[in-house]
Amino acid sequence: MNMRLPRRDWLKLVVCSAGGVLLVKQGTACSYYSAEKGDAYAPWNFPDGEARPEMLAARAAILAANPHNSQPWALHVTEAGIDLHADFTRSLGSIDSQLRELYIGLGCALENLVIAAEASGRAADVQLLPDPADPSFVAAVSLSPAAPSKSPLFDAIARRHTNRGRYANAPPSAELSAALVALVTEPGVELRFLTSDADKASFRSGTIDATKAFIADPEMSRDSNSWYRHSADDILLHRDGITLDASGNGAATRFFGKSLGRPSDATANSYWLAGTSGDQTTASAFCILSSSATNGREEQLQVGRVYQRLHLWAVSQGLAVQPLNQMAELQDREETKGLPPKFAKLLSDLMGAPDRRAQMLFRIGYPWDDALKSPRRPLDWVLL
Amino acid sequence: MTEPGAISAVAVALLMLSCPALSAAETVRPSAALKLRSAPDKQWVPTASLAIGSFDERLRVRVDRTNYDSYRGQLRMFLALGLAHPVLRLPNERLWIDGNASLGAGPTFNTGHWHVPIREDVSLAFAESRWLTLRAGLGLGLTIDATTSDRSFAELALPLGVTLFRSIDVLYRPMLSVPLGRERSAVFGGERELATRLAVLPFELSLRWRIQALGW
Repeated sequence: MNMRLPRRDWLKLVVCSAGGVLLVKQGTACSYYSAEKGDAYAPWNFPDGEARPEMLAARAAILAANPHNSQPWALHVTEAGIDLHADFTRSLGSIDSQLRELYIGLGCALENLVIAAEASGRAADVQLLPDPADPSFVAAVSLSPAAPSKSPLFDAIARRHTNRGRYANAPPSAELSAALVALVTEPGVELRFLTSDADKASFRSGTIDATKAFIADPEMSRDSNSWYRHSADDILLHRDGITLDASGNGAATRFFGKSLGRPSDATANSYWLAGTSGDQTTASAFCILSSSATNGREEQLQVGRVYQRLHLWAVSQGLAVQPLNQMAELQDREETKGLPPKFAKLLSDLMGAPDRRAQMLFRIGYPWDDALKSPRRPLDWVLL
Repeated sequence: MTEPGAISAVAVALLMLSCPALSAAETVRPSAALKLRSAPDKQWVPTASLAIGSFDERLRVRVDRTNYDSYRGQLRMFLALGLAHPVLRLPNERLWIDGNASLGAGPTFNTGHWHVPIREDVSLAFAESRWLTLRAGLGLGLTIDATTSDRSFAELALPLGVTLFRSIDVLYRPMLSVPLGRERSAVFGGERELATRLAVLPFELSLRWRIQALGW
């Protein structure tokens, strides 16, 4: 049988084959979407000409750091002040079994709110937990006219993103610890700054072990992955949660990750563990913000305010920050389930202070790459 | 799904398009077919290539007047269009020098930047047989980082490879990368500087198609 084709027919075959391949490819690649594009990222256009002080402060509040990007807040805004409320429907479940992280996130929002209010000519008088009978009423902030006081932290509000990428293999400046401690002005909140090789190795191995324990706990794994937003539609619909773009992964991994469809929980967990064992535990220093052992809501809010301030300051200084709260989450989990206090002891050893309670753990360093934005719910979604 | 057979068919089709047609004389006269050819008849031939390779970056943090360097490698891939051209005919008809000028574009795998490599490679070619040409040479290039121009670099390369059926080049192209800029920013206690590393890059492979049908 003669299989020879005239050259013109070969050309047709090539064109048709290439077209077919493209069509097949389109079926898998159509789920790709660009990073940081669309309405889900619009709140980061801040301050975007906002002139009303109370609205500026509210818009700053929703750009705060918060656990798993759950954005657990609601705001009642008037010219005279802003009431900050917790949205308990947005808690992380078994990951944050004591709502510690939820309150820390609300403290972060409060700090942004105050910084922006002061920058726009309002003195902010903060009353924490004004109604003891209502744990969701987190803070009442009275706004009164004052001379504008715009700090470098205000300019960092829209540039602050959690950087989950690799950091340089370099020690911190000798003055960094003192500079950070100087920002911790809330009574009862302390910063432990870990830079020795032994301390860093201990923090790193503890974080990796905590990640393994987290993944091995089906409830925690499920609750964590329920906040993962894979597709553009998911992100636009929810405007919260963890996304591939904010994961710190490289461009090719993000591209293929988006194109190949939502990973199973097991796959997502293995990527998380690999990231934690690799890039996400590179750092110049690891830090622990702690409170007294009382572990009260007000202290957690204060820790949140301090963390947000530190993160904004770090961004203003060209430094990157990422929360690494796995050990603290496991500490809460141990208490809630009555398990042996493995991670509580580890944290106590790292802090060198058995009477302190670890609240917020993070790494700080010099980043290789800029962090990408996370989606945000617009202000009108969280107004009461 | 794409069947392997379909891919093979496409590959064969591309080869057929690019090869000069065998004349009847060549198919019926073994002695003539065995005769080794000298430099190709068509001297100027458009080319298209696909390359994958790695390059290194250096992050230098200067803190408290001390430098700390960190390094990372990342892959890149690019498509390039070019023109194969004559450089020099040598007395031995199985030996000649030719070149390929090309302009490419493609992404880096980690940072997602766009690289635009502009290259001129000159090769000493030796016709080992009618279907196989060995080549080795020197290459000069400039990779423009179109996303952040400060991370652009110059290339000094040693392209080695073969040409199959006078149409498909398979090339290995180790090179020296020379940074042409540095991305600098102030950080607490010092300065941060990101650039391509001055380094030998041992890995780049490319597949180049000489489109003989468009040559002259």
